[in-house]
Amino acid sequence: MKCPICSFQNRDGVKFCERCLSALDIFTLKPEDEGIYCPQGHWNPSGSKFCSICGEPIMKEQILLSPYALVEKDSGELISLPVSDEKLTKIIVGRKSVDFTPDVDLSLFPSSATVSRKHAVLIIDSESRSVSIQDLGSTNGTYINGERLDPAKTYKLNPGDVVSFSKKLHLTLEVKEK
Amino acid sequence: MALLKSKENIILSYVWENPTITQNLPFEEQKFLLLKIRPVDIPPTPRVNLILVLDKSSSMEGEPLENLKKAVKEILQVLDENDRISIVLFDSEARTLVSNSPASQRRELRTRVEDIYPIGGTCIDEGIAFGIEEAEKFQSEEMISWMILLTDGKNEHGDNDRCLELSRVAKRKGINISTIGLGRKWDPRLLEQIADLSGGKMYYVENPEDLKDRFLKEFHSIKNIAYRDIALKIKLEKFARISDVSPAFVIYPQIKKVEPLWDGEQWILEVGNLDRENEKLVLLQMFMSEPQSSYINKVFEYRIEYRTIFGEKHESSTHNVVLEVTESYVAQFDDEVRDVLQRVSLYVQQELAEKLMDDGKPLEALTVLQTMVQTAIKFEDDELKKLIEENIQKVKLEGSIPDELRIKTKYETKMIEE
Repeated sequence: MKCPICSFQNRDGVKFCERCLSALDIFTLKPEDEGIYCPQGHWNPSGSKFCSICGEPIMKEQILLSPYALVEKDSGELISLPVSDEKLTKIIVGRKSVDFTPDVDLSLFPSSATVSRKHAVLIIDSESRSVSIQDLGSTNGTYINGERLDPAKTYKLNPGDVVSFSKKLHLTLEVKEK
Repeated sequence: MALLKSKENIILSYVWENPTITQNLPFEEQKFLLLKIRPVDIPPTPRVNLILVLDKSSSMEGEPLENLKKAVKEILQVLDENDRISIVLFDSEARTLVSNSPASQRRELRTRVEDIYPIGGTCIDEGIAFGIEEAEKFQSEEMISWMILLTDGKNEHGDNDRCLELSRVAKRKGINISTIGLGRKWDPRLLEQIADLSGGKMYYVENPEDLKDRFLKEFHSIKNIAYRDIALKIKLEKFARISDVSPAFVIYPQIKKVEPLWDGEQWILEVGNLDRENEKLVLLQMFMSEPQSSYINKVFEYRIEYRTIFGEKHESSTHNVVLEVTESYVAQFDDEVRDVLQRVSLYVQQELAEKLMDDGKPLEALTVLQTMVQTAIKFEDDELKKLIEENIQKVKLEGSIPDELRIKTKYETKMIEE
């Protein structure tokens, strides 16, 4: 068995990786689903995009490669925006509820009470490296630098733009240079 | 737990992670063995031939040097009358400040400590070379020769390979080297190797004001040695072998990998000095094919070779380590051995994560670090958990782990004591 931690090719019957001594049985104990671990180490079912416990994005590749993030200036809290392999990535931003989890969950912010469940959608174009946003008919609206958006239209975002999800929660778009 | 008493001064007991071995398995069975070694009687306090090898490069200016001087004066104060002391200073080159002298001259030596000025670069190997020379001026079997090496920088004007070669030389000459890295700019890999190769320990001191405390603690731990150079001589049965990937680790007070040596007849496991009060723990990874008998099976026989603090060589009589043979697999585990295993895995994985980062494989390093977070949570070790999470953040956001964080994480995973 190949060690999922250090990739050492172990002989049969080994319970701990011969090289890095990781317990291999904890990975085989979950029979139906090997699952996936979030960066904080919480276990989630395979295919999860975000951790069900701490809300962090799970896909390692996306975390590392994504140059896009939303930052709340006051707290310094950063939400990395995952980018898929496809040309366009659509990311639903909103607030988690019993039956719905958005791609980016804003409920971890104290001021998120006025955010709708499906508040807005961010569209990342990986070819032109541009980000745009559309309000999804939210109750309290989406704003770019204080200007309220028309729900029917798509608006282009520039790095440094402040996006407000309702009038209470203000996040700044940051784009890392390649 | 089996307890085997030698007629002499040292006791070895052992615990298996799982004390049974299964018959007719289609593969080799992996077995972990925890050896516990401790002294039976307490010999008198040893005499120490102490060699301080101190970095006085320009970066030591100000608080670091002032605190270092205080630490050295304090050491002079606590030395026993019949101890010996040498002080070597180094920057891009080395010189002797105090040539090997009796501690009884401490009053006169104190004034010389003021005579240290911060200037120059860093050449650690020159410092070690001078230190060995000083140690040999008054080396006897009845004294413990121990070097404490302090640096706050990387070996920019020296040769790391020469450092390692000199560490081996020191070991052969019976001189152990403990290393202290001060601040955030030194090379943890180098200081760890110097300590591991020479049979010393490696320490990290973040703030200069803690130097005195660290020097004193290290001095007391040298004085605390009961028996020296403990070596286990192991004769394995045909069906058993020791892992050649991660064979053995000394656990206390710091985790250290040990490579067994083959002398043509038996394996020799050098596990270092034995403290008066503390048990020495050694974890051994073994593999076993079909056992011979169907009841209790001898896995290996061993003897313990060691030296007293007066330099006399002793060897214990021969004892056996055994396993119970069962027809089918018995899921029976020892929690203590499992804990030790996980502690060691944290140490191995930290090294691995660093290596993966150096090899330009951040994704693989993240996988390793995430596993470490889980283990840290299991140990309820919040400090370590936070440190590893910080590593993860740095890898994610900056694509690298800064030196300071590497130092802290390595130290936190290596240290068991304190």
